[in-house]
Amino acid sequence: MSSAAPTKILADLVSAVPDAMFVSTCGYLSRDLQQVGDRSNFFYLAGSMGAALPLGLALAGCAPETQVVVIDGDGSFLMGLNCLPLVGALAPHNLVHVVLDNGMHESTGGQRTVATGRSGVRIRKAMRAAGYVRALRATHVTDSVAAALHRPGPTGIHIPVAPRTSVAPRIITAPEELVRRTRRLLAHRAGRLR
Amino acid sequence: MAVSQQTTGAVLVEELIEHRWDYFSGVPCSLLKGAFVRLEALGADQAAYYLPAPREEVAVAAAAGAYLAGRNPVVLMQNSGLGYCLNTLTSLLLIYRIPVVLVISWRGHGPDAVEHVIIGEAIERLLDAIGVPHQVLDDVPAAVRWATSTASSSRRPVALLVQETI
Repeated sequence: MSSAAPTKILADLVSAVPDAMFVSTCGYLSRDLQQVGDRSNFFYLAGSMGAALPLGLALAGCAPETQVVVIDGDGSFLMGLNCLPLVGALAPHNLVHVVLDNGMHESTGGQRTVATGRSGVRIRKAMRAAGYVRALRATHVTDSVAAALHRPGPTGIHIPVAPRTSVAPRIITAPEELVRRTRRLLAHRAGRLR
Repeated sequence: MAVSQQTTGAVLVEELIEHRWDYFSGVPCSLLKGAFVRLEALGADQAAYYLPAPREEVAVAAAAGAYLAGRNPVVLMQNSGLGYCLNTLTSLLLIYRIPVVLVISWRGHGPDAVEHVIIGEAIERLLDAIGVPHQVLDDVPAAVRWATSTASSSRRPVALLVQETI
């Protein structure tokens, strides 16, 4: 089956777990997520490439009642590789790590990464070696991906995607406001569930 | 803990917890040994949590994630690690206005191993350049009071610089 556009994959992930907290890496992927339809459970990183996973990992540990879905690209996945063993060691049941892999740094002009290809990093193998409970590969949000999203993790999902045909607009919500709304949402949930 | 003399590092950790700083992460430095010993001894029953990070930018990003979930984070590191996490400080903590106490050892403050000389000479100017208020750790309660009020009122990271083994 051919690869889908990132926005299609992101829309399907959000439909599958609409209440999850989504943390997206900087660059086009955050813009793509906003394009799906901005929601208070989306936290976009403006910069700090590679930081989405450690941020999501800590968030998952501190908010065990909330599922956290980290959206990485293949470039940011490689930059944040050092955090994988920490995910395996802490093994938060509520963490999902999605890597949308187009084989390039598309936000900066399409320079290739070493994540794909015959000599590249095997993303699923790296996740499993680090101690993820499971690591899947799929070209779409299939039934098995949707099922994995509802099982205790940490879960890794590697999804090859097609290069973009258009670029989504920049994030419109101010960084401070993203923090404010996320804290409000999580405090509300923690209060409701206490 | 009652019998043996507490290290200054342990006193610092407990003073921070007393001021409701309850999420610790970082990468060890020999100058901060006492603080890390105390952090590793935190029990599951205690209100504070310690996440050992492989790199300083992981610790800083984790601090941001903990803050989103309502925790008050502290990051400990050697000043060499400031170089690794400089971008995470500027494009995450400072831009998103996330208050964090940074406990940074000041290697290269005096004569030291060659790798510490340049960063040791530049550390205060580096922090000034990116707008992170800083103070040398001397009197622990006073330093924690300053860090707590400055971080909370300005909603930005603040740094305590540690010159001697604590």
